[in-house]
Amino acid sequence: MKLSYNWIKEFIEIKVSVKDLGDKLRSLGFEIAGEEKKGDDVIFDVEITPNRGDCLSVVGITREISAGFGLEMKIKKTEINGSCGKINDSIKIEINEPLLCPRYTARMIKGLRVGPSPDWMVKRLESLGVRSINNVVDATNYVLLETGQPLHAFDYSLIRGSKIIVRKANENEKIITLDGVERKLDKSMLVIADNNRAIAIAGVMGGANTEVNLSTKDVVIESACFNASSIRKTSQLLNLSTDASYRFERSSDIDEAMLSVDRVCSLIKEIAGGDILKGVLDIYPVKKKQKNVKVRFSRIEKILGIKIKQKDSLAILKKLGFTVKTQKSFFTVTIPSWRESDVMREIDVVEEIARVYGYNNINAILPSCDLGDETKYETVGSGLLDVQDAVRKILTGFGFFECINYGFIRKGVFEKVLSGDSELVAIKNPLDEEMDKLRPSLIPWLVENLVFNFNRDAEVCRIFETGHIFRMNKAVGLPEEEIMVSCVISGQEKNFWSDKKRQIDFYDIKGAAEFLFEKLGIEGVQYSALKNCAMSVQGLDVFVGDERIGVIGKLKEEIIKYYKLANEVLFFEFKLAVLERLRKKIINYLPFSKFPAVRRDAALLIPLNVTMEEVVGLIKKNSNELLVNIALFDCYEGGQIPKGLRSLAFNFTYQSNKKTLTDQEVNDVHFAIIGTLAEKGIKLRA
Amino acid sequence: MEEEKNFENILVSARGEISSAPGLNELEETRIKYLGKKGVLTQSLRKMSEIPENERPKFGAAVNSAKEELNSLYEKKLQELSSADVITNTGQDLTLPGRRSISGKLHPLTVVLDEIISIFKKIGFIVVDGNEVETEYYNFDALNHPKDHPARNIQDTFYLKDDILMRTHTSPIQVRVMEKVEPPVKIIAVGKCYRRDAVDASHSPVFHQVEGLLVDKNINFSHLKGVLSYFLEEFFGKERKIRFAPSFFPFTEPSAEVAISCRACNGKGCRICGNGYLEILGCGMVDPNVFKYVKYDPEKYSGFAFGVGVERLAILKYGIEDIRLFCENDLRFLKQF
Repeated sequence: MKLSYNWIKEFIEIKVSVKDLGDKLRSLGFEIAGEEKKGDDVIFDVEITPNRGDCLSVVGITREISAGFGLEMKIKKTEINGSCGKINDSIKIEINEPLLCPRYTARMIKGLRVGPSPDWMVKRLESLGVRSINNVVDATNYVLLETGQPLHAFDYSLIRGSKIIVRKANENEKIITLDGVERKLDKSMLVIADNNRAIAIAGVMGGANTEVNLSTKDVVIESACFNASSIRKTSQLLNLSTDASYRFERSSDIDEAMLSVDRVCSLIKEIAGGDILKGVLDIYPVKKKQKNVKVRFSRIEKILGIKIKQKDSLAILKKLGFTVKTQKSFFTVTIPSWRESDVMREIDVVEEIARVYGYNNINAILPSCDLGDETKYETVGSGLLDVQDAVRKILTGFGFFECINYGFIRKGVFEKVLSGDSELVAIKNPLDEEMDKLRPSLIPWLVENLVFNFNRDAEVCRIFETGHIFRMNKAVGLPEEEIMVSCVISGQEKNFWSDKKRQIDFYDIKGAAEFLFEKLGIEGVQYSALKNCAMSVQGLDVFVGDERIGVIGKLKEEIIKYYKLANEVLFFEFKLAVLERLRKKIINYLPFSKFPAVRRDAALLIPLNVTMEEVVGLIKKNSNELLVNIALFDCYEGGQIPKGLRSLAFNFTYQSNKKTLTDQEVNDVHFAIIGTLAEKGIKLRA
Repeated sequence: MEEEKNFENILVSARGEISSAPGLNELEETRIKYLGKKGVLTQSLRKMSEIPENERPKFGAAVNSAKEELNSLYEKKLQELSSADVITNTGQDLTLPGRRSISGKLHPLTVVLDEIISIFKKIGFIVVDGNEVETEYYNFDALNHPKDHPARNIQDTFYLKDDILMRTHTSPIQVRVMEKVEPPVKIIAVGKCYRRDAVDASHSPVFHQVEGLLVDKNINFSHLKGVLSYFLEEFFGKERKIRFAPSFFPFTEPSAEVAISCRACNGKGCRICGNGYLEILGCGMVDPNVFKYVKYDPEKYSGFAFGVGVERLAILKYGIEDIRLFCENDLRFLKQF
């Protein structure tokens, strides 16, 4: 909101610099977004929080300044002596919706001359960004800026039936508003009407049918109070926000309605002439009761952590317009009409004291630091933050860069492929039609990241993400959430200048997965041929026992083609919750042998339908405790190897923890093991 | 005259010997021969007494400039020979890059989040997370947002169903914690949040938040200031000034906004910050209405809550000018942290 320093000075005698005033306003909770010198005036752009509708005016802000600096504010009172006829004889007012319009006041001026406003008013309005229209309209805008009370002037001669009715609009009722736009109303909206038709959308904008114009002689001035949420809804439905609706939405001061109608009439008389009719119409069916709040001295100290002198608190509240009675251990605080929507409870009054006392005058104290009992929160969070942290560190240590993406999925091949898998979660009101569902996997974004980087000259891309994925649980009709870790890798790698460039392949991603399991201490990992993965047809399902951890795979051709990728893309996606369950949290040291190890290499001819995992399992099953390690060092097919077979070369390590093994002892065990493999058609390569 | 000529000869041979030194050892010998303490040039200066007094300044200047010239010639040759020497001595160019095992990096938001968490852990806060899909109750109702609060607007919040939405802050975690746990509660709630903001350099529909909550007997506003001042000093350094100003949030009363002085101008006001301070976080004493929702007795317990955007802190810490960089995941960006 724009504020003129000169205007403020009309209400308070203040001699502080522009900077000091800005600092004070900020310390009171009114952030200064900007300030600008205009002639001999300074215009502040002040941010008013939504709870402070009462400060959307010169008077409101000046009240804060008076409390902030401890200065008296000048109260301007308007005395009106009606000089001709009685208003009661000219117009009647009827409120059909007292809940939506708790008060409606009006005065009438006859015989005025509509014309341009005086220079001082034009200048002031324009410096605050308000366009001058004519003296009558300008006066209503001027008083709105001064007191915060929205006002409206109707041309009396255009009101039919000498009656103003506050009622709900009829369904599809139409009105052309002052901006020349025809608006279709509905039954939820409040209108001001005459006997025949709507003449204004209550609290939002007047109608063109009763607009003050150059031939207007007599006007009716409306100064009313409307229900805040009703105005907000109407303004939203019509997509029409005005200075008036902005203020009513933030609650207007019910007492100010009466004061401002007098203020504006005297101003109009001053600049447009005419006579104010005797009397004021004031329809105020349910008079609001004054609210009293008990504020305990002990509570102020308990919430703020400091002792503020009673007389200081008292002075602050009085300057803000509160009426205060001091009791033995508490204040009885009466809330002024302009703060009723915002200050209702003891705590709200405590905030007022703290705010004006100054947050910067309250000490900073570190509370005692008992380490809370971490276990008591276990039932609330995912419990996966630690494993997530561990996984991040392991994967960055293995050469992967962490990515963070939106929880949405972009339209395209992945959405198509993955919606076959299960129902995706749709957003009712997406921001971008391209992203109107939640992601059921982390892989789609990671592949997008990969494409983004390849398009920017990256040669190799090894990336991962940990994050939430979403799927619809059809049984309960609610989305389900799971936290995953996924890796994607692709490209040509060359880590050392004398190495050859190497195409990233499946064993790169497999290595990453193995490294991850090893680092997490997950044992007994088993792989089986990939089944039912929407993103891949070549890969492995990963299990420990019956529990499925996730998949390792090569991205489907369909997806590679969609993104026009030059290289194959490998990925894995694992469930963090399963990794957390399986990971070893306690390490038990195992003693190792003091005696030397003996190594034997053996190249085995193996039928093509037997996996290495099977062979190793067989070897382990048929060996004794002397075989401490077995490692593959070559895999070969074709050439001199007979058809239907391949050669896997292993390095066997034998060691006893009781003695140094002799060659004979090692050979006995070694060849016995190999002998047992014959049952699977496996033999030693000659 | 004779001295001068003699000197010219010395200079010519010195130049020649330096330029043609075949190795580091020979070069060092040459240096000692001409430029050393007992070197030829130094000796020349000592002979100053033998020349006429009026010629002495000229001669002195000539010797000094010769010394300078030879010195720079020597430095140049030294560099040339040292460089070559690496290869001559070993038969290999040892300046070629070494073999390295590759390593990746954490996303800058994770780096910043880890730092924030480690600071709060030091003073006893425990980290809790939660789901990104939330109910309207936990996201708004229980946080004292009135039914017609603007944030509930379909313009501002992603809805999945009428009462199911993408959380707009991590505060639902706080409510869920308070529902299940009796005070004292001392937590940091972290995670991804969603608001229906169109993307530009400073807005993103997805962002990350850290929120804190401390509830116990006798917790007051000065503790709020204490904890946040500690955090900001640890994160930004003690030299930055911290400012608390009143603000408004539905779930806190009194509410405050915290700003730190701009590093560039130290709070004086400049092009970067405008008025000298940068807004960092929102906070306040937990509103008694929130306690009522979770059945805490506001007479018995009090507490404070605060929220800070991780992107905002990362932007200030690293001088990042565009929030979109965080979700683009450009490797050239990720490699820098």
